[in-house]
Parts: sequence; structure tokens; C-alpha cells
Amino acid sequence: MAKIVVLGAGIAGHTAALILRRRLAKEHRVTVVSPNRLWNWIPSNIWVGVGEMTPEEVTFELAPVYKRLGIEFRRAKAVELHPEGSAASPKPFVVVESTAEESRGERTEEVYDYLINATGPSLNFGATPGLGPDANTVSVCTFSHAAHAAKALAAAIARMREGKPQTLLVGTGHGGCTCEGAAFEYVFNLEFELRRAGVRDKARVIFLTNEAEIGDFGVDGMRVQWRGYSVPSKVFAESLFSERGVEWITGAHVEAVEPGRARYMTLDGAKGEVAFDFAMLLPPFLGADIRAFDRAGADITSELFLPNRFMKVDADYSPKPYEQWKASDWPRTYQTPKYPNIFAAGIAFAPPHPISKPRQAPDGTKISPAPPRTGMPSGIIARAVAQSVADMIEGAPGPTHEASLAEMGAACVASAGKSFWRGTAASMTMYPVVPDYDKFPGEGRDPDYTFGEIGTAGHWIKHILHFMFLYKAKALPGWWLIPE
Amino acid sequence: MSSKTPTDHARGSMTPSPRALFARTFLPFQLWHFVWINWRMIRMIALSHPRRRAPSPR
Repeated sequence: MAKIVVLGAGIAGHTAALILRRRLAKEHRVTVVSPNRLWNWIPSNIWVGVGEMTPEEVTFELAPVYKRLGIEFRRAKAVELHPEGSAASPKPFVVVESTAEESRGERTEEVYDYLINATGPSLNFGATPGLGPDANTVSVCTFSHAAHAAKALAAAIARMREGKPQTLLVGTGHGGCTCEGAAFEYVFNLEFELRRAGVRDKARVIFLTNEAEIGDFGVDGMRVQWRGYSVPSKVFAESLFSERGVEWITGAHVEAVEPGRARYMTLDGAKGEVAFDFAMLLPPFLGADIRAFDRAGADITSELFLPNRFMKVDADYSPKPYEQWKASDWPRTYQTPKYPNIFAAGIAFAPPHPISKPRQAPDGTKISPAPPRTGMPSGIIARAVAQSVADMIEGAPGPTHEASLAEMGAACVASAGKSFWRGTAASMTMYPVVPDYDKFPGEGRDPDYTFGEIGTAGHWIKHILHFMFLYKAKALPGWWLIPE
Repeated sequence: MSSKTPTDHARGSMTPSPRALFARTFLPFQLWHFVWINWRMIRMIALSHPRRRAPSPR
């Protein structure tokens, strides 16, 4: 009998747990540890953030699903990892701290044979003074943040209806942010809502991003095939902003946010500030705060995690200049080098380096997007890890499945307004996520699989994906037929 | 690396023609594109899913 502990119940952790439970005999135990009671389909938080969906429409209770499937569920967060056990416990274990109301703060040990770290991001609002829903900006990173953002947006719209012009600022709240695509989606949905409310003429909408160019998305941009041309994503993205009258500020690191005012520095070292009435700025991410200890109790956190708290896996972490980055630097199995029974999936694994070209301001401030690990890659990585772990439990000597971001594509449907007939979304695919200039000289990606276009069909697809992935996550009949 | 005004945007960006804007929400065209986009995405998803590792050489 083996016990697998999955840390996290987001897209990666939940996917891994469902696949393991389906693959393994009942004698094996699958335990999910998550501080959250609810599962959240994060891509639809954008619609919660403009008041077009409620938090209830993008979430569901995890406990009944896990009970039905025979997965153990601990509402807790991991705080310590003991991969060699301890003097008192010969088996490896993880110390978890309860987040349930009735036992908040209580610590217990979860012994494991295999551990999958899928803890996702820790939202680092503290990186920029004044950033975050507890300070001067709103966010759409969680459903509760998004609901708060929707209220703030509704208040701004009400002020515009009274005839007061408003400035709305959307983007990234730090030079090291990732997930620029979420800000991209949000600004277009916000602009769509302003038009729907009949107040667009009262609004100045500004997009502020750490990308050196609009359309970089943390993947160094891409080139799409269009009527015989290979066109940079920058051209399409700027077109979308331009036709909507949205201004943009690129290559920007937000230094501080005061009430109604954001101060920033751009890549050329210039300082600027924007006065705003509403600001949705995303935070940078860190990994979960987990300390690791060896059998003797010595701190070995730096052996398992990078300083940004993401877990080291089978990647090449040796420092290299941008020109020497290779597709082969990226992990394939997500197994940790030192402990073969520990894997990291989704956002929790440490990328070997960014994908976008690293840039910095003259004073050394890094202003460059971190690599995105969106839902589809996170789910696919989780599937590969779960299949490897299941095979290893059944006797395989090592990981049996691989899912490198340099051999994996991503499909992204970025909403630009929620309406069945008038809504639109930009549908994009790229292959691979990490450019491979050896395999695809010049552009780094396969032109046959890299495309983008905007239209109502994209909105229908985004809406269908919403229902399809909630169905899958609830593990309803046939869920396993739906790919990640 | 800089802030641009809406006027700068209009001067420096590609903008859609009335025909392109119409096509974005024109039902028959979008129904066809719904099928086309799904087909392209399904191909890419199939290509991207985990593969079994090749056995290591002895």
C-alpha cells in the first residue's frame, strides 16, 4: 500500500489527485492538502471581476467530490517538508497547519511515499508598497479578489453616470510579474462593460505592463501566420488596444501605489506616475512558504527550492545568458533531483529561467515578465506526474511520462467582452510554449500550430470551456475523457 | 517603454477595417470559425499531451 500526498488543489493538484485515484487500486491512499475549501476555475475570475459572473458560478466545494471518489482531504497548508523523515519518524512526512475553522493553526504530520507539490502561487502583494486589495488596488487573482474588483468597478461606473470622468488603470503591479494575459483579458472586459454601461466617453483606460512590448505575454511574444505574412503578436495586440482607445505603458515597474496614484519606472529609467480612480494591478508570484529539513533537523530548504520558493526539478538551473538558453534546459519529468519520490507540478516547479528576454532599467531594476504556467500546461504537467507516480508505485524504476514546456503547446482564449452575440475573444495557440530555435529556426515555434484571431466564436469557446472544466473538476461521469 | 496617447496609437497601429469588424460578430462566419478554431486547438492539444518516455539505452 502506498500513500500519495498532493499539496494543493488548484488545476495541477486537483488534476493529479483525480488521475491518481482513477489509476490506482483502492488499497493505495491519495490525500490532498489544500488551505482552500473551494475549487476555483480561475480563468473565469475575469468575468467575476467585471460583475458578469458570481463567485458561486466559478467555484464548488471540494470535500463532497473527494469523499465520493475516495480521496482524503485535509484543509491545511504545508509548512515543513521532511523528505528523509526524522529521528522519531523513519518515513518522509510533511507538516501541515490546519486552516479549517474548528482546528485553525493545529499542526499534524502527513507521512507519504510519494509527494506532489502543486501549491501554486503565493500572491506577493508586499513586493510593491501599496499594492493589493488590502491597500490601494484590486486584483482578480482569486474569486474573492475578483468580487471585490467588481464592486469597485461598479462604483466607478456609477460615478461616471453622475458625469464624473474616471481613469481606470489595469496591468501588472511589479516589474517581475507573470500572467500578463489575465490583465490583457481584464482590460478588454472592463472596456466592454464601460461601453455596455454607456459611459465609455467618461473613461480614460490605461494598460500598464512589465512587458517590453504589448503581446509579449511572458513567452517572448510569438509570430502568427496571417495572409502570407508572419506577423508579430505585438502588431495584433496593439491593434486591439488601439481600436478600443486604450492607452498603454510598456516596460514598467510599479514602485509604489498611493491612494489614487501609481508611481512607476520604465526600462529607459524614466520615472512616471498615473493618477487613477480604479486600479486592477496583478502582483508578482512567489512559491509557497515551505521549509525543508533533513533527518538530523538541518535546514535544507535551499537544496529543494530556489530563493523565489519554487521547487527545483529536473531542469538545468545553471546561469546562462539569453543567447545560450535552450529548449533542453526545461524540465521533462518534474521529479526533484535529490528525492525521487517528490515531484512538483503546475506553478510550483521552478522554471530554469524566463522565456522572455531579460531586461533591466539603468539602475539594475529587473523589468521582465516571469514565465507563465497557465491552466493547460499546469494540467498536462500534472497528468504526466500522476501517470509517472502511478507507474512507479506499480513497479516502474523511474518517471515514465514527460511533458516539457518546450514540447508542449498552449491554447489560450482571452475574453474581450462577455455577451453571447456581441462578445468576442482572442483565440490563440502556440507550439511550443518555450521556443525551440534548433527545431524551428528563426521563429522558435511551429508556424502551423501558432495562430491567433478575434471573434464571437472565441467567446463561445471560452464559455464552453468554463462549463466543461467545471464538469471535469467535479469528476462527473466521463470526466477523464476531457483533455487538459 | 513609453506612454502613448490615443492619437499615437491611431498613427502607429494596425486598425481593423469595417469589414473585419463586421466579420467578428457575423453569425455564419463565426459558426464556421467556431469549427475551425476548435479543430486547430484539438490538433494542438493532442500534440501536447504527456508522452511515455523512451526506454533508456542499456
